Amino acid sequence: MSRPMVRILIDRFFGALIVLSVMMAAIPVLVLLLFVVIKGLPGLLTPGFFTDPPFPQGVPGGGVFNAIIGTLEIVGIGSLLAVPIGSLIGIYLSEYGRNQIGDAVRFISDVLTGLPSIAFGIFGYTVVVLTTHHFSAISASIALAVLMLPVILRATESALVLVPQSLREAGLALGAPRWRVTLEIVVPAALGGIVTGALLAMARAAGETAPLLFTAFGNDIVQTNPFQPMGALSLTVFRNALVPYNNLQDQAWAAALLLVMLVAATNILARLYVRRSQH
Amino acid sequence: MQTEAAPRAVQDGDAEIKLDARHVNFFYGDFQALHDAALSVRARRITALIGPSGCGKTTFLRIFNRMHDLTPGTRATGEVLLDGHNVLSSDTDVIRLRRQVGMLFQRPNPFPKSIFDNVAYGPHMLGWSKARINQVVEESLKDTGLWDEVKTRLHRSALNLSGGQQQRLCLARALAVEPQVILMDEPASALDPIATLRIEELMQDLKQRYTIVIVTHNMQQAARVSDFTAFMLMNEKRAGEVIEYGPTDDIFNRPKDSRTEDYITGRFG
Amino acid sequence: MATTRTLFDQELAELKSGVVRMGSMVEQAIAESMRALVDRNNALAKEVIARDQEVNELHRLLRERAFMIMATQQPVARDLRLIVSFQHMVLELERMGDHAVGIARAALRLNDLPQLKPYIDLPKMAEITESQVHEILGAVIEADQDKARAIAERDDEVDTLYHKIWDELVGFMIQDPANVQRAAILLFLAKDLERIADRVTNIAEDVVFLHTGRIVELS
Repeated sequence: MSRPMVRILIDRFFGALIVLSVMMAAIPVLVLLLFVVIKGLPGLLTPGFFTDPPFPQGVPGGGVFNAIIGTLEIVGIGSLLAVPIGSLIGIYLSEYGRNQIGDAVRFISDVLTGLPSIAFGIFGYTVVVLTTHHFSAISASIALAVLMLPVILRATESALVLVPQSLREAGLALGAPRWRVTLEIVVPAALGGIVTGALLAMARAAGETAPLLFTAFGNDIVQTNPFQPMGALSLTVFRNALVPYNNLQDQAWAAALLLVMLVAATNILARLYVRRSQH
Repeated sequence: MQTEAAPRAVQDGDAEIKLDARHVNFFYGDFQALHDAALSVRARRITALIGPSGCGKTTFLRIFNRMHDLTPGTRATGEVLLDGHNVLSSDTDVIRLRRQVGMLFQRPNPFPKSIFDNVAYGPHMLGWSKARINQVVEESLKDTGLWDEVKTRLHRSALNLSGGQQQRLCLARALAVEPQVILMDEPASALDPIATLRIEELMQDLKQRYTIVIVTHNMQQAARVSDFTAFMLMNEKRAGEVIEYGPTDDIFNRPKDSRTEDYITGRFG
Repeated sequence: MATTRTLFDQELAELKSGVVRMGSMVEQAIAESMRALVDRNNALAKEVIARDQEVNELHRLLRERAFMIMATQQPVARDLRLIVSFQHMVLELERMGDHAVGIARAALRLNDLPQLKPYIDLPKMAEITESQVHEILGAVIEADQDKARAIAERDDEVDTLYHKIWDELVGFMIQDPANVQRAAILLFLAKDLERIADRVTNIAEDVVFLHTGRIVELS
């Protein structure tokens, strides 16, 4: 066989290998998605799914209205805590934190990212639930906030580090003090990355189950008091998956599908925001 | 833009000294980058700093508005007197200094904001009234020859302008805070020849009101544009020194130092 | 000095040797035109006139070359002074060549007529002038501005001789109208020599400019 032919064949072989690997990685994900869509769609389309709270076991019908409110509120409060604090820490690390303190913060943040999410649940349980003698949504929010913090922090820092130094110099050369340059020039320039980081952290938090198990605990009643236990979509999936009632299982699948759609929508939103902020 | 270039002053004994650098030494940690550098920059004239790469001309320039403060571990000794006050002293109000001594960088660096917001940034920071800001934005853009090109799209992003326009925008931005001195660090090196010539033409207009110091590695540009030229070289210890300084006509016709002549005639031993 | 502009240096060296060659040609033309007068040699005179074409051609070539170097190499400082000086010198040399042709033509006319008087002062004036031309070419080759200044000072000797010749020839014309034609031609010939000596001073000024960048009036 001639040399060029051998080369072409090797090329084709490796090309095929790569395509095969991609398929091996993509197929489980696609199968999963397909599964969730197929299993969840009936529940999603059931009337009352979005508007009714869960009915007692054995009673047909019901919905996840409580869980939707719960996920939104728990993640909402958590974000309110994590996003400002995380962004500010990220800003500090990028602009003022090229020192040992900054390195220490980064190290701790990396460690936190690797912790199993149930650890945050235990944290929330110990710090809030045990002291207040209450399961509550706010304890879950706090747990989720600590979980989101390192993600937002690192995303903010990365986004700011990407802003070219020449922009800072331009601001400083105009006689702007450092804080103005940071807040009025650097942060707006990095806003795309910061917002994306925040959105993705929120999407991840929305899907977390373990931290909510013994903090928010779950609640079949629709209520918005953060100091009381609250339901959430992830808890609904967890609890109803193994229950022997069809309607409840359907609701579990549908809740899972809803979460997937939420995460997908958040990702798309983040990308659209980045694209728009570049024009 | 058709303007008459301001005639180059032949008798310059009368132009007073705006910026006076004396015995300036500069260190990056232990490494000395400038050795006993001196320069008397005359008011409302263009002074050029020329020399081969690494001779310290940009380092020297950035001392004048204390931009070296941004790099940790740097130290400048000696005096740089702006209207009699030493800008290197620790009690200098650096913020105020940087408003009086503006800077134009090698690569255009407009903020990712609108054209208007770019120019208005300085005045806005100084707390000027909306009317005054509008006026100064228009004047600065007119002074840099941009007004006619951008007046219908002031609120579009500055990043959509061409390289030459962006650099003129950065100049307008610097002018908006009404500085007295403008430092230019190779302002045209990233621009095409036509944009370069426009900037040079601008400089001739601007020098009637501002004192300009320009670092350039383009000798023909220095000869075309400046009234005074300083030639710098690295010494054996790799510290930059000012070898010769004088009226541009003298430096480019009859330089006193043979090293200067070797450099400007393009002959490096 | 090893440099980063070897091609440019080569072009400058070629320009200089062109100038020197042209100077030698003009020097020879002056000597031969005077020889043609003193020896009453018409053939030599005609040769001088014919060879002036070469001098003109060299002048044209060198000026073009100098211009091209300026256009393409953007010379500054001493390089620019060098080229500008050479351009000017070459012009002066070309005019000197024309003066030599003037002398040769005068010789042609005089040689057909009986000699007015023995030629004594004219050859003396010519000798000094020729030595001036030779010396100034040396100063150009050696780039010696002091030598150039010294040569310019000798111009007074030529002027003195020129006035003496003038007075003598005018005397001849007053004495006898039959002398006027020959005396007049000789007057113009002397003028040609005097102009050549003047141009030597101009070239000396160019040598000084090359060094100092200043245009000074010498003599």
